[in-house]
Amino acid sequence: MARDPKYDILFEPVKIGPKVSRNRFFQTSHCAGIGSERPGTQALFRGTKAEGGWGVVFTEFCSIHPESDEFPYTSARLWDEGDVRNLRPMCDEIHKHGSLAGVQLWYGGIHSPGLESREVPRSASCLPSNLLPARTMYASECDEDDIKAVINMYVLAAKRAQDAGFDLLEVTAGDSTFPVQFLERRYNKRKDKYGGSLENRVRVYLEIMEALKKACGDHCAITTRYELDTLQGPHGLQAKDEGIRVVELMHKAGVCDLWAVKIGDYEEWGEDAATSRFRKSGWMLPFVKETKSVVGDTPVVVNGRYTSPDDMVNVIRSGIADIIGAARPSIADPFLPNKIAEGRLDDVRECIGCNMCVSKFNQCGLLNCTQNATAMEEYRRGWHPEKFDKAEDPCAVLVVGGGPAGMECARVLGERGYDVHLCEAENELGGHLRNVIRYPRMNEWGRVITYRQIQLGKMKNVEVHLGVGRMSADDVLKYGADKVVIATGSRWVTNGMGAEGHSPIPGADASLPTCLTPEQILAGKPVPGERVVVLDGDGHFTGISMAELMADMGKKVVLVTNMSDPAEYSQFTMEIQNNKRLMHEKGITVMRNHWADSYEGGKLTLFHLYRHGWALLEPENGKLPRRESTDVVVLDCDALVLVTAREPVQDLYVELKQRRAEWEGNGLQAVYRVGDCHAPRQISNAIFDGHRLAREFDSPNPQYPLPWIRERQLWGADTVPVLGDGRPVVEV
Amino acid sequence: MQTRELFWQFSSLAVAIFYIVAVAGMAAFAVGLVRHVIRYRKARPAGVAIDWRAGFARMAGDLLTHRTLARRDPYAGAAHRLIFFGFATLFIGTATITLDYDILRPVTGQSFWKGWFYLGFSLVMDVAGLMLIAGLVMMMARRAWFGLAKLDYRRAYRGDTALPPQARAWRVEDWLFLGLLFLIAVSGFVQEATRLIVDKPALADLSPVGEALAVALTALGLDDAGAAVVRHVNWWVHGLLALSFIGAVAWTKGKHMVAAIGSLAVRDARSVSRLPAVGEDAPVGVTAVEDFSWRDLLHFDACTKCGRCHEACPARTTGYPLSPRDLVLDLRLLAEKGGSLAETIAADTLWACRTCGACAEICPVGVEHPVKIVKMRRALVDKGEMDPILRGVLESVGKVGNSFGEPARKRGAWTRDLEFPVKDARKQPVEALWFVGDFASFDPRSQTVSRTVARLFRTAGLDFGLLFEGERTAGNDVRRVGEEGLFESLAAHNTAQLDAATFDWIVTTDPHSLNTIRNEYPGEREVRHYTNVLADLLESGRLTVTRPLGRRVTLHDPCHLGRLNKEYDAPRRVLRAIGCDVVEMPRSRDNSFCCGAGGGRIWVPDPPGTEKPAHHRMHEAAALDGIDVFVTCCPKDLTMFEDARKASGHEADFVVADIAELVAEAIELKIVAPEQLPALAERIAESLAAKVTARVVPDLLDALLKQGVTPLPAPAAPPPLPAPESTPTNPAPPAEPSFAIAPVKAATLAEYERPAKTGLRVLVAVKHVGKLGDDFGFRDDGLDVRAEDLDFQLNEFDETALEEALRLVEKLGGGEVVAVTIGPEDAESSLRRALAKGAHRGVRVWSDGLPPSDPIAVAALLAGVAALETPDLILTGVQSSDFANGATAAALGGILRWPHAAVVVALMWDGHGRMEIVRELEGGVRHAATLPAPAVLSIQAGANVPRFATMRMIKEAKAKPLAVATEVRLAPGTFGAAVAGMACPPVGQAVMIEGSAADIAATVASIIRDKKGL
Repeated sequence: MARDPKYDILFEPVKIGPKVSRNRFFQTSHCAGIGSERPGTQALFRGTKAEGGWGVVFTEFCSIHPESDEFPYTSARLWDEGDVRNLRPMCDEIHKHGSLAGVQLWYGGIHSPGLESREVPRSASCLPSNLLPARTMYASECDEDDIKAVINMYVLAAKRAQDAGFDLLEVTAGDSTFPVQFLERRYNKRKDKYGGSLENRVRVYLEIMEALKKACGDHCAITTRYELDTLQGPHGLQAKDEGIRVVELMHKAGVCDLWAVKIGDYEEWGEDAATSRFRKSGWMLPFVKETKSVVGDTPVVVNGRYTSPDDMVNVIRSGIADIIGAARPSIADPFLPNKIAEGRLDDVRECIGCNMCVSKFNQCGLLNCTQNATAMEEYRRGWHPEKFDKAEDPCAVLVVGGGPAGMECARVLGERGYDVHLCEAENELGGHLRNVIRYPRMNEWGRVITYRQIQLGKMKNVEVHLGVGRMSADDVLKYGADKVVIATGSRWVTNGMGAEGHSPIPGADASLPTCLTPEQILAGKPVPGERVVVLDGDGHFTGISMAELMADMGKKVVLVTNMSDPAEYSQFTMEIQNNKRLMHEKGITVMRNHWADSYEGGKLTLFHLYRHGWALLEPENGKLPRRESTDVVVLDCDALVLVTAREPVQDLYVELKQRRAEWEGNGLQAVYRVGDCHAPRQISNAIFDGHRLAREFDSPNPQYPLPWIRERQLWGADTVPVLGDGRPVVEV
Repeated sequence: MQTRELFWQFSSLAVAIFYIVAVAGMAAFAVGLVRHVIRYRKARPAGVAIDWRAGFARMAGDLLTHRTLARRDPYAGAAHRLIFFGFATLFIGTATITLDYDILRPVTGQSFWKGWFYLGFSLVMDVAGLMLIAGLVMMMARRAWFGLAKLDYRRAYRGDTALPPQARAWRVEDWLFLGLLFLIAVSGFVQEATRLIVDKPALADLSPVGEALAVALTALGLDDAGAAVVRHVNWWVHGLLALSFIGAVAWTKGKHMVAAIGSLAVRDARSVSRLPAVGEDAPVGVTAVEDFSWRDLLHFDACTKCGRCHEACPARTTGYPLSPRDLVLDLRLLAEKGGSLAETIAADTLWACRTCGACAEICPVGVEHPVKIVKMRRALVDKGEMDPILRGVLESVGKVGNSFGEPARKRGAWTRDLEFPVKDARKQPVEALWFVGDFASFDPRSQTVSRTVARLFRTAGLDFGLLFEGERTAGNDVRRVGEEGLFESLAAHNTAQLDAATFDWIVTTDPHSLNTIRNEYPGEREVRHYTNVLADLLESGRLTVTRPLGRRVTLHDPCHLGRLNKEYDAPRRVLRAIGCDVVEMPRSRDNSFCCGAGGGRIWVPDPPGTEKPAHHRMHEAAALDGIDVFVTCCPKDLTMFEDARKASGHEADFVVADIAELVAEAIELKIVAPEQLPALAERIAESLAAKVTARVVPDLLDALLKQGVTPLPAPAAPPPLPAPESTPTNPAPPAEPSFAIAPVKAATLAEYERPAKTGLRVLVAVKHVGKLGDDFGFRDDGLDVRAEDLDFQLNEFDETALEEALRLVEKLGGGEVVAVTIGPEDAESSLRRALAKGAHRGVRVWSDGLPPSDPIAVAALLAGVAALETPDLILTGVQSSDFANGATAAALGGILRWPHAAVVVALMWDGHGRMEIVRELEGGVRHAATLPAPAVLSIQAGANVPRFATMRMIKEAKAKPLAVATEVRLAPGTFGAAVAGMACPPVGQAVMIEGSAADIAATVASIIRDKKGL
């Protein structure tokens, strides 16, 4: 199908300083957990996006000097020649596909923990970091020599970047970095020419840009990513006040080749990378829409988790921006631009805004994506998001269960040429996701189902059979498949068993009218009375969603959790502040660090996790070696919602394994399990599980993963720098 | 003894000064020359083999005849000839004096420069000087007054109205060059004249011009003393000018005198048809001026800014930002002064080139512009800097081996509509291997030409075959785009395919494929263009012209056939043989004007609003005197010009046709499908009619009116058209169609394998239906949707009927369900599907001679099956999902004379007595009835939920019996309704009604009245 001409504008080239982007698709820098330490993963992860049509592809934040060290969080680095060597493959890979490579030059100042380098960062004033207040982090206050030295660090890193092949050198004045620490009064207490008036406070930012323009501006575009509004009200930068005036001053100086604008400082990162639970695509526009009118012909990039080409075209046609920035949509579908270009809109794998990606980075792990199981696996497992090795000897595979794991497994098996039957008990695909998307604010997660449903429908060798009811082991054995994949999912436990103690809660039983699981609530089981307790031992989105749902039904809700924070996982997805704001607004009471002792007759007995004494006593059999406490809190509740743990639905798999002797007679060669019925985890894990099994389906034992490429220093390899090397001098 | 004194009244100091100046001048020349030579030596290797001996011989010929200069510009040729031979003679003369005076006399004391030799020499020098001056004056006049676009350095094609700064310097240089030479020549004559005045030699030294000037000067009052002074001063003027000129040669425009000799000596006649390969360790393309070869640098220096390339370039002519002249001049500046290549030569400039070779063809000094452009494009492609559409095309060529992005297996699909099978050259030896090329294989219009060519070959008895899906894009344009890597892989693939086939020679309709296979593929192969083959076939009588066409036609020489491969005569031979009157366009043969498609440009749409080269060509053809047909012999030309003819407003003037279509008409090709020729004939007739109406009728009317004659009341009918000669005479229809209404009878089928009937037997008629995809189009014959746009599957309505049958036999505890379909082998997949869903046995009926399948014809065939199977019940789905036919069951009941019920939603039967049925009528009304067996029922959708086939059932179905009945005899008078044509209904347009409420109401009311006919 040809592309609709109305989208042509998205594919017009854009001049960025001395460079030209081939289209208006721009992967703004985003964390991934790869950095300079995993050159292969970096090269192929970013290169695949270039292959998929992104005209500009950036690194993650890239530290310019050991003083700015965010270890253990993974940044890219341009500290020395070794980093140049490790980032060059990424540039080459991006250039191979005709796109431009960008790097975000980052100096964290006050917010650099320095856990690897142990160096002292510099900033505008010597203050404690507000972001990590408990870590005793201070930056030293710059004198004018120090300012020159830091600018020099930017220049040296920029030259290395140019050497590595980067086309766009971006100074980040976002995420409360060095330039912003001079810009914002709360960080800048100086009285010299770098403090006081806005003209003084913007000076460092301008000097950095000028220095880069002079050093590399002939060959590279010098760009910036700038937070126009820190969302801190008058205490920070405000879009209609100093926020836009900085843009005016910089534009007057003529040193910026492109503006990538955003909102929210480091504390409010969750408003920049906002989830679909709180923000719909394009939420930043009211804050950033003035930029274009200030900077004239200089291109402006705006993000907004856009997956719809119509929205993108609107943003451009309405004169708000020239280029569509994206991080998460480019992870969910590296081929988004090409699919638009080829008129294949129904093949687009839209980002669902779950922030699983950044949550993994925030755990110091590698990014992963709910929608795209191949993200980060391009190099280490050799998976291409759109290409699949055809099975040499495709057989007939029955996939039982049409949830995320089963759908993904069937899809990939189908792409690989297997004859697949996907049998789903219910009349719709989606498995437990069909419930999830009916939780408050969760509808966008339905894209996981629609994408796969459409893809499955397109494949001639895949048949989807809905409403077949729960298949018995006999059904499966008689089905005639050569191989079977069980993807029967999981369910919420009905007896209150959870991570705390790993045993049922006496009296908790979801067969009672007053005890409910999320599935029962969604299935329409009535919630009795006024007072509802949600017992959340899960910590992700289900507990808080149940609490919100109950509050919206007019109930008086208490959310009890064994963790230190409600919905504790949302610290990683960066929803935690808004989660707390939402609970406060909706009058939901939170009890942290509590768990249930028992439930009886409408009374829930809770205990504080740390009620016993701190001192250790003599060990004695049958007793806790502490001063034991029996303190409890008793809550009267009319309904108890159990969000404590899930258990796999594995009876079919277990029975089939037990009846292994009957396999051969029925022509059945193997039975595997994927997703929650294997182990109930996050949706991204279930999808990965199904995907991986299908990718490795012809390996000798696909139930277990094949080895992948591990990138780490192997003993004996050379190091850069070597011990004894001089320190690159930045001081002037 | 006659001679003259060289240093008349010179002090020895003056002589010494002269020698110092002379040596300095010559040193400046030498240093400049050496500097260039050093530059060339440092540059990259040439990359092409050079035949020095032949090159020098040809160069000498070029110089002596001035053939390259006089071509298409005899005036400039004549002027340059005068300058060249005048200057050369004078140069040789001066050298002779040096030989005599500075070498022979000091060494031997002898002198030959005296006496009659001297007198003869003098006369020759005088004439040479006169020639030089004449030539220079002609050139100056041309520059000053002719207003030639090719000498204008303004870059109007990119909107410049003023000269670029470097061009201002060029203009000064041009004039200085002419002026300096002119002054040298004139001062030479002045010197001669003053000497004659002072010395008064006998015979005036046989210097008629000098003498005449002397007489004139004397008459103007120059006495001996004055002449002596002038003689002294002018000697130095003349000497210093001449020596400065020599010194400046290597540093100015004058360097062309040397560089052009070199450039002509290494000229490569095949530079554009066989591009240089990328060396193993060489960079992929040219990203900086240092990446050019020494031949390229030599070309830059040889350019004299004559502008012939600028004039010939189709891109420049139609306003694209490319002038080969300016490109070379810019590159020359870069090579001399340094700078960024990317900033000097815009990517758009490079992409504007169509590699038609017109510039290299006409360049008098042998500059090869397209080679440089392709070299620079290679670097762009290497960096991925190209139009996304082009990138997409290259990707699809890489992926599927053709630029259309079609599956490779469909390459030979165009042959399916032929009446005969085409040989697969990979499987059996052939005389001619036809390399079809992308356009001729996939473009629907070109496919019809391909089929015509195939029919012509077959008629002539030529033994030919194709590589089918073994063939991939030949890569000519891929290479010219600059994608060398892809070209190499295409060449390797196609070469391997060619090597594996057995054939005597290759034929192709595509000049692009011809060029690259002939010139760029490794190995020697005879590659012939189809015009060449057709010419031979016509001239040897293997094709016989039975109806000479007698049309006025013009021929467009494809660049890749003509200019690049020097084949100009073959298409003209063909046109002559079929009796066409060929009118040449002003630009023909080696001066043919590109259609704009070459160099990969056919893949990149021209920006809207620009005039395309093809339009330009259409205007040129239209300006000819009344041609009927614009003949092409290249698939890309056909595409470009058919579009351009309409878009440029010449639809009424002539038609565009491929030469093969004319041949087919002239030999009255019998096997041509009827839709092929009449189309062309019709177009010709239409165009003639339009021409007559547009040109003749108004003139006639004017003439009548002028005579004061009242025009006829009725509109003047166009004069009777010449009967379109080409329309094949249809066999006369029978005068009285003898229709007789007779009942349709069951077909007779030969026995096929089937078990003896033991219990209940239910026949279920199932249909293999095509489901339309998102994008679809019609077959070339317009009779059906293209098969590849259809997704074939079992008719879902029949699944309900099948399920009903299965439930019946399962409930009764025994019996047999037989699925029957009418259709070719493809239909077996749906039959297998029915078997997988539970049918016990399948029967497929098909025979090649069957009438088109409408429900009645199908019912006749099913009735034939029923006669053999003797079923107890026949079920069908309520309708077929492709054509929404629902009459089969009714017709079958009628033919068999069995009871029949349609739209049955419930069936209750014990297998013996009458069956009870419920039918669903309009509006949800139900009708209960009973029927005796055997009966025919069509089962309504939703009567049951059909089971799905498990994998086991699918596997088991593979072993179930499936009989094929191929011997079928239809009762006389069984017809099927044939499809006459398919067309898309016009798309309606919504209209916004505007105005006040009252206006809108009135408009709506009038629409309603209109529609209801009130």
